Amino acid sequence: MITKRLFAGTLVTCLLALWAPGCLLEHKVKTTINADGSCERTVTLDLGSKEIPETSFPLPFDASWDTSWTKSGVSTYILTFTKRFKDLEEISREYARPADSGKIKLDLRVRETFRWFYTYYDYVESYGRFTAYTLVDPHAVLTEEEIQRLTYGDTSQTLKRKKEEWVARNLYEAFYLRLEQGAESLRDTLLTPASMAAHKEEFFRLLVGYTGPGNELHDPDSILREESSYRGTKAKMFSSDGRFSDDGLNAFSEIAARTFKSEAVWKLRDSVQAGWTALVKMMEGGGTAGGSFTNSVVVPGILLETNATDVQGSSASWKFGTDQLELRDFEMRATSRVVNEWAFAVTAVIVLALLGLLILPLVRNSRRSLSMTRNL
Amino acid sequence: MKCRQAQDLIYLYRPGELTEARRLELGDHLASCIACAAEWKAALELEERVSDLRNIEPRLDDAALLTSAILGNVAASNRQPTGSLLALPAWTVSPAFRIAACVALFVVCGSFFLQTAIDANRVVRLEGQLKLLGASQSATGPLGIQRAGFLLPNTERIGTLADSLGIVITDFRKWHHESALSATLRTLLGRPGQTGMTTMDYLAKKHPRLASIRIDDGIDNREREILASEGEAFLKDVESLIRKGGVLHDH
Repeated sequence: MITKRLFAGTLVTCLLALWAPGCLLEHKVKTTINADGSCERTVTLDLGSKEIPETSFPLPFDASWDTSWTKSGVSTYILTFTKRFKDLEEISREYARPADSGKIKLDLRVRETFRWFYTYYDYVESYGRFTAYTLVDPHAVLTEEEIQRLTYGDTSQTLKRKKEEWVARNLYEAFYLRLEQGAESLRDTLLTPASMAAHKEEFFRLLVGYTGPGNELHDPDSILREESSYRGTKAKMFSSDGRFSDDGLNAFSEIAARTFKSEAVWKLRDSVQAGWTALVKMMEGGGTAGGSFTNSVVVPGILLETNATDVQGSSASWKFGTDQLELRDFEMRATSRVVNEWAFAVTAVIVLALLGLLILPLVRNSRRSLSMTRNL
Repeated sequence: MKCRQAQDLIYLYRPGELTEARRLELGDHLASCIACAAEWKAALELEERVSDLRNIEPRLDDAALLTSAILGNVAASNRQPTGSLLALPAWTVSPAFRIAACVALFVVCGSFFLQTAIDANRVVRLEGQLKLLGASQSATGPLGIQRAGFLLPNTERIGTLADSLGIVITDFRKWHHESALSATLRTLLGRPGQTGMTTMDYLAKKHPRLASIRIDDGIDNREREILASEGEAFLKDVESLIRKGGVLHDH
């Protein structure tokens, strides 16, 4: 069963996760910025039990945060973390600390810029890239624009498939590394890491049925069967625990020997199994296990700019899942403006005074001229 | 000599002014006419007074006092009127101050208007961005079509048609509030050709009942029936048009 999720199937899991958000742990994060510079941040989790779950989101267990549990249903609870920050620097400092390597790195910066008539508040929060697929750079498969679009929620099937290819290439890389190590330790003159590298891409394309960018990838289970002497049979390529079956190893070795042009591949059965285990491990670390996020910010004054998808008055919010953090950081921006009424009053006084100083001498001179004319 | 002529010549009755004959004639008249004689006497008195004035010489007893008095008067005429709004310090009339004040006013007003205009532009852009986002999220795009239940029997969803044919729809924001089918087709097939016949016109001509369906407000039973009966043929047409690149190629 697990093989169905591999390569092409991996993204199906992500999709299922997206379309069934109820199954995922949803994190609601709300930041309120006040005009006096103070802030409040609340992190809320809807839970099925009164236990804090394992999540990729860095929950604030610091004593400076207030933690509360509220029963919201028969067996549902709301866990809330709240903290008030006295100024903008304090909240920025809070998220400047080094993050736990197993958690999403949050970066939050709020800057206040005084511009006499108005004061501007720039809110920038980013959820750092969080993925197990780190062996292949996304740019190897996707353009920067495509990465941007996928990160900010583009659901185009073609783009999804391109991302799927990137995932598949990562999984293949994890697998291939073990295979390469095996070949190195084998010291066979016909199967060296260099000779394997020459056929690495060809082998990948064969394993996933790659036909070009944006095209659907195939399940290795069917590929192994179809490309080997097992074609037409119902032989299982993988066992129920996700490891290669004997038939699967035979089929794999057969295809690999043909591709790498060396029968020495048959001696790499342990490496193949280890590679597959590494692949499965990587795949389990990826995907959408981290859940989904609803991040909102309430800014003081009028909202001028934001990349949020939902804006209600001076509140901007973003909804995304951990799958959107796989390719790059997810950055959320909002800029607001507060009118400095006192600055308007002071300016009005200054302008009136200056106008007075400019106009009154003219009035005085004209009066004097008038009186002199009268005296004559 | 008559009186009128005599009175004209009275002020010239002195040596060297008149001819001898006229002088004698005037003398005879003055001796005989009392009125003209009185007039001549008055003229003589006035002449005496004027010659007295000519003899008076100007005298300045205290020059400093006079100067001070003049300057005092000048200063008094220049003095600020005290106790009124017109009382201003002297520097306010200096050109340097007036230029500086004008520059300050220009900078203050200019920066206010510039700042406000830039912000207004940002707000307009944000509103536009949200409007487009709202339009793309409304039920007029492929996702909306899917949500509305445009799932035809034994066919693919129209919304995924482009994907199934390997076409990348790059701009989801192109969908505005028009007929959902029209918007989708416009996105799938691009802008209308130069022939004047739009893709929607083309399809509406072939499937008029289908083209009349608005699915962004949900689908009723009648519309479902139309979709079921004509949907598949319609999708085949769309697919064929996509492959050919639009109405133009079909021509």
